Amino acid sequence: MVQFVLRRLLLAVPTMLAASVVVFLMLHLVPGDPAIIFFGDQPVTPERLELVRRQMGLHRPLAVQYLDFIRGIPRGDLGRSIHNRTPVLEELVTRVPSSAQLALAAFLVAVALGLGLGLVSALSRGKWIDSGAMLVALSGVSMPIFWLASMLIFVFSLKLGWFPATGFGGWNRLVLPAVALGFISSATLARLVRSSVLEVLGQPFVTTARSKGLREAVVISRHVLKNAFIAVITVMGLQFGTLLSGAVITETVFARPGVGKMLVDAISNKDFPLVQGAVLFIALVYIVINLLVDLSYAYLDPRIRFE
Amino acid sequence: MRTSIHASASSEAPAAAPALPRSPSRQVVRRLRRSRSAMLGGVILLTLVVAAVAAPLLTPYEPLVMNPVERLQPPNARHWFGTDVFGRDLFTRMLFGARISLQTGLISVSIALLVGVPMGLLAGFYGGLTDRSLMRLVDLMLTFPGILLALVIIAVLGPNLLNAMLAVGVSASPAFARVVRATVLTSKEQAYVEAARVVGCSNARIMLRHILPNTVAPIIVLGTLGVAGAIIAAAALSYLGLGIQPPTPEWGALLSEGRNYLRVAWWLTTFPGLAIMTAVLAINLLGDGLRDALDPRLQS
Amino acid sequence: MDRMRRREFLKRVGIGAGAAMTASAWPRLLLPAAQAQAVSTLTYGMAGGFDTLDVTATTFTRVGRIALHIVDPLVWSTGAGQYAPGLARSWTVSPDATVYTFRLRDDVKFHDGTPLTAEAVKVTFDRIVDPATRAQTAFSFIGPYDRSEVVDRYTVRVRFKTPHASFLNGASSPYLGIISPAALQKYGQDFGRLVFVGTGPYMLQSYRTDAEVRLIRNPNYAWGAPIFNHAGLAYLQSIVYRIVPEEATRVATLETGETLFIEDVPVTDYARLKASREKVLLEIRQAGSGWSLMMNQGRAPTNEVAVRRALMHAVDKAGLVRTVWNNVYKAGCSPLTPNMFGFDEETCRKVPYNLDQARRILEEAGWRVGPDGIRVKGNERLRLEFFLQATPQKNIEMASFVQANAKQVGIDVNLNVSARAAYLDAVRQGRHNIQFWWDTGTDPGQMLRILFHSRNAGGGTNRNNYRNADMDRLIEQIDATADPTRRKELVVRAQQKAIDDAVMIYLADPPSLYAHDRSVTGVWVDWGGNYPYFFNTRVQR
Repeated sequence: MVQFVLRRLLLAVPTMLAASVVVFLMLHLVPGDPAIIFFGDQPVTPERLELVRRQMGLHRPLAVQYLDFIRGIPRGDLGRSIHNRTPVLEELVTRVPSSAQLALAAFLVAVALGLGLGLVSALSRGKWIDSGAMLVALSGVSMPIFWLASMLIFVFSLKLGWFPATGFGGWNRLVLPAVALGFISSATLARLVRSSVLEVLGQPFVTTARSKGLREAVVISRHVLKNAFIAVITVMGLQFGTLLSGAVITETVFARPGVGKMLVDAISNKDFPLVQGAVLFIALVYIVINLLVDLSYAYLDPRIRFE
Repeated sequence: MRTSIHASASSEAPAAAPALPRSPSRQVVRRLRRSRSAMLGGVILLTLVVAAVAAPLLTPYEPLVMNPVERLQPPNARHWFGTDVFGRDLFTRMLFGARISLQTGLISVSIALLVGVPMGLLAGFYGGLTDRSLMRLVDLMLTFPGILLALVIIAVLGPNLLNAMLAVGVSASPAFARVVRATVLTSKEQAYVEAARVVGCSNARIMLRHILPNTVAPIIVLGTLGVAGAIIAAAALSYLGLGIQPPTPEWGALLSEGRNYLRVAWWLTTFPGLAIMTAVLAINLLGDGLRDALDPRLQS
Repeated sequence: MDRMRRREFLKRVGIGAGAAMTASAWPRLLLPAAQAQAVSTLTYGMAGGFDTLDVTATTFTRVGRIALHIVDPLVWSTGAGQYAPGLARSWTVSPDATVYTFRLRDDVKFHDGTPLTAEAVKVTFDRIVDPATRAQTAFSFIGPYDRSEVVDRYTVRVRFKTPHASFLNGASSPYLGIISPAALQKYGQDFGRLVFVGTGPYMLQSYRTDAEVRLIRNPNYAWGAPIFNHAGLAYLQSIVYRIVPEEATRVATLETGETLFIEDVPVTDYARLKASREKVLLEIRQAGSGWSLMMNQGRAPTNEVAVRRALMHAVDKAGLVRTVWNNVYKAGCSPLTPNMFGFDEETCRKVPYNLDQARRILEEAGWRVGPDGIRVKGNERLRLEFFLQATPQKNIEMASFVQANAKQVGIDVNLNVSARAAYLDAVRQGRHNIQFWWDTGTDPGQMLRILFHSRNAGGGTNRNNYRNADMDRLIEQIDATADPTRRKELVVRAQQKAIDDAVMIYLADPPSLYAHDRSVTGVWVDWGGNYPYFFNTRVQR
């Protein structure tokens, strides 16, 4: 197994490089000059503009710009943001805790809701509860998140005063944003749990087990839960990356610092080093999560072997 | 085989069984009719489509004409959903917005299909290097959250409705690619495919005539759900200011515009929000019903 | 089998623990926390983030708001063209406005303990013009800076290459606040990023990017400016500036007590907060250039005077401020806001709202109404490209209103809502026919220069691309004239000329809107409405 992990991690390097090259090129396709964006609507002479452009390193040929960035990575130097000259690593490090907290909290909410609704729905298939639970789950993906977020703030923060609406630090500030994000993620999970549980219940051994008496509950629930967990890991594995780095709207509405907002701003500013650094981070997270997901598949289902 | 769950990570679509002796589509429809929620979804959707198409007939007002005298009126007899800051009737704007939102959903999904299906088909069928490189591409696209991908595409191409649809479509295509690939992988092993090869059918013919039809079921399901997702994604883009250009009344734009008026004009956010929710919910219910109907395994 | 049991068990424990945590913590609502903070801390809700905390390098006004507590300016501005002592006890200005001599207080210390001397002023100003600092607003305030001379320990002479009548205006802003040379030397490039050492009543405690800035009281502060009548320490122990970009959320935080003071109050909450018994709304007319439209003379069809003049008459300003701004904003008349030095009231009568007149002007210029209601001349449609940014959202509302107005006289205005980068690209290259402009500032010469001087055309801030030698001369004279009467004449002439030459359309003059809890007292805001200052502020329980 160690071989498997090592091989995957080694394969990760070309993936990350590929991701960073693609992003580098795409960002150059975006119209706009970072130096002009930096000055915005301020008066500036052409000389100062050129000076700043040189400071940003934009006068170097593209290949050199990219290679300089890559060269710094083994040292742990991801360069400095060209927009505000803070080291990229520092920008990431100040935001990752907040994003990670939110992602984990949303993960928990999504798992709790998804498992709960999916199981309830599958076990009472065809009855009103089934439709009801699925309706609740589906309403999660049927609302734009900024709407859900502002409704949550309006009801639970403003009107009821139960939770603060903004900020970072302390579990009560996590509740509303985690519920908003988690609710949305839970929908896909609920569906998957429902269908995999139904699949288990439709298997022939279940009928056999049922005819034998009480012990079958244990056997069934073992299989049901195993399938449910596979479903959880599959869905949440895919979504965790998004929870971590794609939550820009949640971060904006709830006034939390985060990787998502940082990345969106960096793209708007055409801040190459910052975007590159963030992309590397996201790619790394994605690879690690994929690895964990695959490892846990093998753990859960011995029929899956490491190729 | 449960490996399908791993291969098609974003969908629990089944590997479709070979054609049944009775007409499969009629069976599907019958199963679909039995599901109450799917029927409800279908009816709601139909109503919305009819309302969208018949929009000009259903309202005396124009969606774009300003009438500041009547600004910010709460729902009343003359303006069923109230008016916005310029006195424009919200109900009218929502009817016309329905057209745009539904179109956005459909076109985005079509783009996702156009991009994703061929990728999945080729990757699954040819395997080897083609498979690995295409799936690497898909992985690359999946590395980034959808919203960032859409953001970059719009940043490069410029913010307008068409580019928004393109962006949403492209970011949704990896899911289709994966599902199609998974189905192709399982179908490839079927006996009749072997038979076709032995008989001398060309690869293209095998792909199109024998394998592609098996992918129809998961594609329909994913597509239906994709329309729902596309409407939501378009709303998110409007929030970020990257979607449609004003004064066009797309639902997501209406919702985004209205959200700052929550305390003084609750109707401006509430009705578009409810509309989006209803439409998307209906599409999701229909899609889920289709999935249940198309999956022969869920027959307990 | 065991694995399964263990996992199940863990899951059950997890859920149980979560439920227990939730249940036990339920009664602990957020309000008690807010009350506890109210005694010693002011939480301030900011409307957005910023690029850097280094006030010398930034363009953001909100950085200035924070920085005004960390640094002290040389002088304080008490009204248009009126100044009171700050770090400088007294000062003299040479008649040609090229030499300013400041006598500093001798009792001032920086946060790091080093004393304030003339050397510090020199170091501060030299740093602003140093290209490595990338100073922006500070750079434009310091103008044609030549050098500073240390006359003696507490006297500094600042020299300019050309007359700079508005220097005191800049010197009263936080952007030219005096920083510690010792700290600068110690921290080098990290000064401004990690630390910022001044002489102010508060010190920088921490800065979490995109989240909040924490200031704590300077325990040694004893040199409050005379205008504040407050000799000792600040009353509040700390100020926390929290970034809350979503307006609805920001207002909600004020109402729940999460913040005690917010900036950028949305107009939709104006009436409610004004009438509120627990909250106080601060409404201060902004100084500067209100919301206006720039018309690009470098691109057809706005290169035609007729088209520009017609549009000027076609925009219903009163309707705009009523519909979009609920009359909280006032209709604009001039490139300067009414409280600016030299504002000319006549400008309000010069361009009345008159659709017929607009139509007539266009007809006479050869623009005939086409089949779809839009005018054409030969093969050309009367279509204007309006470039604007997606935020703030009011932008879009104003633009839609102008679009509807223009349509009534047969002008087709096409809105291009763009992301910031694309917008800047487009307008700097002059691909626009119209764009918005809005600026705050307290010096008329500087405002006019930004808007109308030919050197700022062609990709700079003069996006009208208006190049007129007479106007250039007027602006340069304004900057060079220290005598107030003569200066006022020139400023009036410049406004009149701008309107006669049909350069811009002046839409609305905004107020700065802040709101705070009633328990907050002693808030001072500069006359321009830009900088809420909490030196005298207390939070009563």
